[in-house]
Amino acid sequence: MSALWLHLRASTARWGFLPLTALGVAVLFGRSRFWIGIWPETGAAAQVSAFFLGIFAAGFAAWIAATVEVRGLHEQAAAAAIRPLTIELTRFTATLAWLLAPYLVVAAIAFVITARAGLPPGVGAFLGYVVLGAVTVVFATAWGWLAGRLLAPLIAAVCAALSWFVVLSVLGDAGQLTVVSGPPWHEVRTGTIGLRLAAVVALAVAVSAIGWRAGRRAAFHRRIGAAVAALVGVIALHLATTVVTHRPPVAKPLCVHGAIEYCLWPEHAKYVPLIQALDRRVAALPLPLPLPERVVDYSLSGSQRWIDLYSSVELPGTFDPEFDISEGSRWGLARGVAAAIVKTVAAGCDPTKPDPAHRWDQLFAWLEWRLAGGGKPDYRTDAPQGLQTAWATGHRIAAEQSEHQQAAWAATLIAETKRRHCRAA
Amino acid sequence: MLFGRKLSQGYGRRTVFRGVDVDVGLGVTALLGPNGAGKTTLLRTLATVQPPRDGRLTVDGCDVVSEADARRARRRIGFLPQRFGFEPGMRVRDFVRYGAWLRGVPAGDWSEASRTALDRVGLADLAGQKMGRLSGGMRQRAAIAWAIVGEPPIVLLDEPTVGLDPQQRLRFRDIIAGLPDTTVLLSTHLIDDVDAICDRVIVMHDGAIRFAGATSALKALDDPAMPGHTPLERAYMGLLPAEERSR
Repeated sequence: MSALWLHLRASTARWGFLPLTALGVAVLFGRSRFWIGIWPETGAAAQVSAFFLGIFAAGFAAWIAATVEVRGLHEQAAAAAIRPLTIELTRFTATLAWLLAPYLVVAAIAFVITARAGLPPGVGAFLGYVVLGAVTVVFATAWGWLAGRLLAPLIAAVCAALSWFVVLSVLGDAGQLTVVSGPPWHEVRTGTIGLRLAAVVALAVAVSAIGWRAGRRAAFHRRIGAAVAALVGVIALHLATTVVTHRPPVAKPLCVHGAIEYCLWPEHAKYVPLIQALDRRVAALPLPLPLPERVVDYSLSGSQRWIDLYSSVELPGTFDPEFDISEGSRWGLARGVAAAIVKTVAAGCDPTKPDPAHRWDQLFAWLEWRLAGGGKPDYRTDAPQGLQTAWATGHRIAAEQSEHQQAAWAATLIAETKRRHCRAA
Repeated sequence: MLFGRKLSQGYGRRTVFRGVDVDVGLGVTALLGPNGAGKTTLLRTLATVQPPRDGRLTVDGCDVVSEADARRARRRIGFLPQRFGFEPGMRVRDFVRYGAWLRGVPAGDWSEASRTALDRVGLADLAGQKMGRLSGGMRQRAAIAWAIVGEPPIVLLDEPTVGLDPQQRLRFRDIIAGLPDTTVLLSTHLIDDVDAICDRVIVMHDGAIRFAGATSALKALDDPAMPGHTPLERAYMGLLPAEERSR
């Protein structure tokens, strides 16, 4: 029996465990499922639930911190033989344990589900994202605790939850408080996450040290000042540090050999069957086409120098063409490979020469439809009308004409386009 | 056991008492006085909750000068404030164990200490009940168990019988009378309780001590001209100024 156990058994926060766990699980599975089988995406998907759970954690923590004085517990605590900080830290820890538990359950469920899909590499990134989410929940709980020290329970709970939502909205991107996905070309800086974790734990200690309003007013105000200073420090640390950066291409990607060589981030191992199916469709094209030697997963070619997570500079030189399979979309994969094939077919041609019929785009759309295996594209486009017409033509030919007719159409289109736009036919 | 010399106390600019001397020894001592006399403030000062502005406080032979001294002293004091707090969802036995933790009782002794305290107050059968579900009287008994858990040598109780029905008050008297080798100081308005269980009485009025001595000595001050139904009531009323008596 320990003091923490006593608090855990009596904490009001325990009532939040089941509903918050249900919320976290709903967020985990409600947003998407493509994360299953990819460790960094699994960690990021679990971490997204921290965004929502943090709002409730702030509210709950504020309520619990504020009820100490409403219930009169502070008078007995003031007469205690142990330090007030020990009492408050124990209360805070018990509250945090109940508020963090739903998040950890969500992370454990995500872990088990991806682990069942085999053991692809990248489990370290999973842990990095999960700790990032834990930092968010601890930060939210400390935020709420501070509000609870200043306001009455109901007002504190509402203000803490709403203000935390605002903080997340404002700092979410700039401070990388949370992320929305974890593609393999991103990497988490475990050292920075560790630093942030240490900072929010220090903030938790600072808000626990505030004590009670009913005590000496000057000391109370001094400790409030210290907690606010710690809070400002934690926010500044979030704004000054980057936890997710671009990852350089790996030396040994996962490559699938077929009509073309396809190289993937090793974390994308679950997409190998999708690649193999696409390669069978490449091999089954109704006419022989010059194919690229190799196509690679997004950001694996090394063609860009990343300035930050969202901006990059194209490097001079020749690089393998890329495809994007990050959300498991066969259409995304087909688009990338189709574009690479068209580029190979059109080698030596001037792509800037105007072509009102958009012939290369017709060929691209025809290839895209065939390589995706047909059906309705899983994306929407607001491309110019001429381009959309060309794509529709390519899709229609692939869907409606016989193999023989398609081969003849493609051969004619390629010959005609090369005659008009290329240096040598 | 508990000595205060020239104690002064107040809140902000308001002085509640100044230069008060208090001696509380083994047995049960009552702290009597009208509302606003300074009883609660004196109890909080003796419980080391509020450091005196001036004067010397000694608990169980040790001077209380610093916060560290106060924390050491609190290990020997069971203090029940007038308005005690609890988590409604906490079970009675955990509430008492929580009190043991706050008093610095080693964790290994909590179970035994809380069982003994709950036995004393007659709540052993309700140890698993949640605090929020207890009646007012039972809550008060749980609070007394909180104050006596770990058998502190000094117990300070601020108006512990407020809200208790006559039967519960009798039970309370038995509990207090049954505490062995303990210095008990209880603040109360109820002279019946003083007469029944207190060896000594301290009468306080307007921040000053008007009487401190044996209950029998106070009784001896009985003045039939004073209002009251018992010698102790009349003696107590005789210590108060005329304007206080007429309130």
